[in-house]
Amino acid sequence: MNLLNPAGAWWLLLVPALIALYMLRPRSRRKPVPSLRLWRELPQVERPTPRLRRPPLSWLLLLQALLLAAGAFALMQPALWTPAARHTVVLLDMSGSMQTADGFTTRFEQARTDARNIAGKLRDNDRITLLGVGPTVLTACSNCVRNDFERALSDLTPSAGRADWPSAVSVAAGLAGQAGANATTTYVISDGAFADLPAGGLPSDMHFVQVGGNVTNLAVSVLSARRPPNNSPGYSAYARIENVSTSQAAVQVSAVADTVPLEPRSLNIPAGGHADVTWDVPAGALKLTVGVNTQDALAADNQAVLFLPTNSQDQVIVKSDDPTMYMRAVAGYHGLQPITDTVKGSAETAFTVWEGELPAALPAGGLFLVNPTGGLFAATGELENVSSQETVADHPLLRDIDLRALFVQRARKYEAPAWLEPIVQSADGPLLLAGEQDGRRIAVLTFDPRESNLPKLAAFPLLMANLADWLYPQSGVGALRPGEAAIVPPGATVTTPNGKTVKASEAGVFADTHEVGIYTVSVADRQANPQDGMRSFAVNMTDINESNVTPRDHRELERAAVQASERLATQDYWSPLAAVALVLAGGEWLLYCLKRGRM
Amino acid sequence: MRSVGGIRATLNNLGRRFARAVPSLAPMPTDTVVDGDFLRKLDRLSLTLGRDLINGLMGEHLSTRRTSGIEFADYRQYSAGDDLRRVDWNAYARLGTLHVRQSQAEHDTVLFLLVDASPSMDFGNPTKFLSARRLAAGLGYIALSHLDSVVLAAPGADNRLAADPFRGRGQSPNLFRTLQELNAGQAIDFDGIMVGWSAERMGGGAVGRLAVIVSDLLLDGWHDGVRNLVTNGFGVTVLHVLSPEELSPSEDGDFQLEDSETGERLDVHLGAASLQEYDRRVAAWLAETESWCHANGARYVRLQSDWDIERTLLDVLRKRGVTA
Repeated sequence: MNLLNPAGAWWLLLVPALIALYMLRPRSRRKPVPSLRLWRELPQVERPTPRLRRPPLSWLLLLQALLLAAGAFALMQPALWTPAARHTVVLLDMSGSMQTADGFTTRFEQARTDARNIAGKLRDNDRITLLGVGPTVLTACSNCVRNDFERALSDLTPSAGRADWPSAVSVAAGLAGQAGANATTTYVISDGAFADLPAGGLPSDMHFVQVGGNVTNLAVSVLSARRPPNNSPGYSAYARIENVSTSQAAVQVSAVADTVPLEPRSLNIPAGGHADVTWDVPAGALKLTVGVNTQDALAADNQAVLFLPTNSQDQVIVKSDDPTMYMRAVAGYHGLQPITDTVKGSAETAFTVWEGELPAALPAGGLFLVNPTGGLFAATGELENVSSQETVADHPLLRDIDLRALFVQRARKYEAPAWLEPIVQSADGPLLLAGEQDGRRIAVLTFDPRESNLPKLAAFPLLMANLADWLYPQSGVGALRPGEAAIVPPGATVTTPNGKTVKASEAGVFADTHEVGIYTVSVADRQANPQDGMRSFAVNMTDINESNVTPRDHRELERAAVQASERLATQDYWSPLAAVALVLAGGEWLLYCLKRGRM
Repeated sequence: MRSVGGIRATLNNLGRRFARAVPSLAPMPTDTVVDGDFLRKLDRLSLTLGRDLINGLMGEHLSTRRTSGIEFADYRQYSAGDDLRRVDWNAYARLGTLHVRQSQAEHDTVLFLLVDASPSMDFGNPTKFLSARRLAAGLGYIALSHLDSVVLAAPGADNRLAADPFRGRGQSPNLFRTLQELNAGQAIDFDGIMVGWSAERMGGGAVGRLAVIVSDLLLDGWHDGVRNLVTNGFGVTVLHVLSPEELSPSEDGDFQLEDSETGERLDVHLGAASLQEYDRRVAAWLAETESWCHANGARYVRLQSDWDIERTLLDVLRKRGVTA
């Protein structure tokens, strides 16, 4: 028992004060009488007793004393120590590897069972948060009770993509910090098919619950197609088959161009090794499907599909006073057609290159903004004679290029929005920024290329190619990884591999690409000739990290809480005492009325 | 002709009926001793009750003295030695028996009224003093209507009273005014006054001496006076007026009682036992007082200050044998 407000004990003094009042006789009242002779002659008349008397045995006194005592105890706020409510955060792996069949069930089902077991140990006042960790981190339920947790857990399904663990543990660490030290326990339930996480920024009390065992998996980890070097018609297709198991595997790999089977390949792949195969895809083929004919633990990575690009398939709109430089660079990219204006009814817009002053409403789809002014980008100054000092080397925009030789005579200095990440920095400010806003990608070049040596650098066409790949991921081979956003016509309807139709956003972004398979895009105003308005893209699980389903331990996720005594919380009982005081007050009033004959 | 007894019975019946019609507690609304309503009641009382009350007050000391005076009073049968000039021959012609006419004796009949004006009388609601003055007014008015004179004394009063008696009905306004102007003042024994009355009458040798003492009798100095009056042939009636509050006090708790006459204070605790003992002592005191009055030849009547004056005169006094 603990008193949250010990000062309230002073109110207990009212009890002896009340008793003292009862002990104190009321002062004599002066009363004139005609004569004292009748009073004085009374031999047995009761004389006034001393001012103090013994406390009378009175129900009223008893009730009043109890009332005061109950009120004083309520003011003292008596409380009992009880174990404090704990917060449990469950990070449930929803990556593609969790679809692996393991034993009689899948790893995801095993993880779901483990999550239920964790929830089963919760006390009534404990709360639990469930985060589904796929390509995006999904908050399935936050600070919920066990029943809500069970419901949310049942609704989760694994995706085919890679789990975003850095974001997930960051969210979990934030939740743990919010709840206070040692108040949160974080569980990661996964097969461990992801790279080790940096120790910094992890929750303090964390446990890794591993699911799954050793299984055999063969996967198509790479599938690409290129124009033959000799410029002959058709494509050269390349595939890599991985053997993620502890024994050598003999497997047949099939390839189908549209509906025409290509020559299958029989491969013997050593344990943990891979084999590369190529095919010549005949000219005119639009779709290439490569599959591994085997029954293994993970079926999602046994097949991959490419939609082969055709000439002038997608448009790139160039808005510039001098578009030649951009048009020449984009024209070298197979499947993209640079134009200076949108032509209704023609091919889809892959992205837009916009130089100079921005319009009030930005165009839909990916944007490459060059030396922009107005709108989101208010210039705060200028940079002169700057060179590239720092780059984010692993960013897709800088893949295979070196911009260290970049020199800029004059660039704008911007108060860049937070969602824009500097990719190339000078000593005084960024030169190239990139980021996503509302699902669409935007790259910003802070200078006019003509006032730099960029057009003369060999990296420029590669930069434009990387821009095209990044801004319009399904360009080229028309395939995405799970969770990667597709750029589609604004408002288009997308039919997923399992037949569900989803309307894309007005910005032309479709991000619900968690299933492996073929997605069909249709545009509403082209219903008269549906074939005109229909495009397809594929989502392939061509990721060796996800295909490598060998369970891995993650000791960095085992972080025991600092040993401390169990956190206790107080549960005060002032309200029942106040209720008792109220009842006593009512009883005292009733008794008083009865004694006075008022009832 | 209706007999005297029949008339009396009729009057008694009327009185009882009247008494029932009047609430037992019907004090006058103000401190006025005599107002218009009370005066009408007095007129009615004087007609219905006057002679009987006077006769009653006289008691066995002096009954009606019917003589051969001028004023006819009654008949009685002839007996040997009666003056034949008083025989009513007309009655003899009708009845065949001899009856002698009787007349009211001609003598000075005086009502001595003593109204206690000590401070102890100034208690109660209405006060005992007001009740006593109303009683005095009623008795005095009836007396002035039927007797010769009324002598008023108010021992303890601030006012100085005229020594001359009130004579005849025409003096009743003066009597009322005097009673109205009386104020309760100080505690004075009224033995001396009564002894004075006795001495005064001793010299005069007249008959018809009535004395009515209206008091709460909380002073001791009244016994000798009453005894003297009785000894000297007064018909003495003691109207003992008490307030309901002092007869049965109801408050309990600790009190500091202050004597209204002496200023003396007494701390008492009034509980159930004390009040019970008080009641017992008051009852004993009242019984003792009544017994003393009877033993010494005085008529004793206990009254309450909140009683209606008409009811008191008609009912209470009759029951206590004051009204003849």
